[in-house]
Amino acid sequence: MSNTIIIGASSGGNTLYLTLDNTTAIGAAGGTSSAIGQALTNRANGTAAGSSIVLGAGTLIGVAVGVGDSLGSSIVAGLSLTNRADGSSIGSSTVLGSGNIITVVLSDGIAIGSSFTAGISLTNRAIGLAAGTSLAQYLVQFAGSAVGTSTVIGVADAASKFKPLDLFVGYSSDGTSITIPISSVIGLTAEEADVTTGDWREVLQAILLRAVEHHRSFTWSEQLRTYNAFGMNQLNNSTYNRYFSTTFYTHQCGANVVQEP
Amino acid sequence: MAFVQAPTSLWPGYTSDGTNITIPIAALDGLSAAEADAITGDWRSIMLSICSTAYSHYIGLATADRPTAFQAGAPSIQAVTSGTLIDTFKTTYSFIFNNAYCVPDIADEPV
Repeated sequence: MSNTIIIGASSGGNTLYLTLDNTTAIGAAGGTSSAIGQALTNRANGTAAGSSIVLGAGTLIGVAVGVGDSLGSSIVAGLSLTNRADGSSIGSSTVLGSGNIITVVLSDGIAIGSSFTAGISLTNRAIGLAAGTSLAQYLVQFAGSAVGTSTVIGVADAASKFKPLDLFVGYSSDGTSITIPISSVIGLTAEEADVTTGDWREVLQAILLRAVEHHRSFTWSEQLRTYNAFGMNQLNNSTYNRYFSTTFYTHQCGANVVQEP
Repeated sequence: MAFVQAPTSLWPGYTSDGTNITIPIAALDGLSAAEADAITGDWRSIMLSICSTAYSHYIGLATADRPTAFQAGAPSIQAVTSGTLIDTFKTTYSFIFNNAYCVPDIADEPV
């Protein structure tokens, strides 16, 4: 489940900056920024000459790679950084998903597809560049949609944004039915879900509550244009009324005129 | 006939083993197997189908058979005539649940 950035060794003279903005959140979530710095240092110092690491005040991690083989090893450090951001030691995908921005700037017009094999993956997934496209531009990836969940910021990035597993943890489908764990929706009990003695209103409400919760978990940058869910409670004498409004942007329905009465 | 609350009345073929609920795709308006796929599917489509099914079921009940503690409003459908979503339709489903009052818990103080 780790993200992998593998960059080949033959990229001397090029410069790669990897800048992780707003790393305070990452540090706060599972460790400290110094832990990240440590990992980077270890990796970068392993084989590199001319490598340097800049850790700025806990909010900016910069990796500047100088010459030769150090680039390859430093990218391994990038791997390490990714793993940490993604994994259990420092932060989690949800932390990255909270609006932090990872910016990777690769200067000198280094061609992806030669030595920067994994750079391809990263670039393609984040900004949709074709393999072999120069990476002399910013790669801005609103983490969370990819870092931490899929293998890379990835193919699955676009899909993962809408994958049912994100809405219902443990969800599955065999192509004939959908199965939703009771624990993945809100407030539903096994009794309420019972096939004969249960109540479909309870099941429906639990699903809608989860949909609202999921929608509210999106950061500003993750907000969808095609979906909106809203829930509101209102006390009315002895009942607690809950209103749900769910908006979809849809394509036109079929044009079948209804039957004349 | 009176209101039937069993989940099978809304979703024929519905089952539950106490841990999961299972709903046939065929019981959900317009949902395809591809849209229902756990990884490559689309939860928006699932929610759209769930909302549409609930509305269709409710509106299809005879007045005497409708629940009083749940109401489904007619979906609001507006054509989008400008912007990046032009030529789509903004479709909103509205539901009201009348829940029994319960004593709420105090929210956690923000940190």
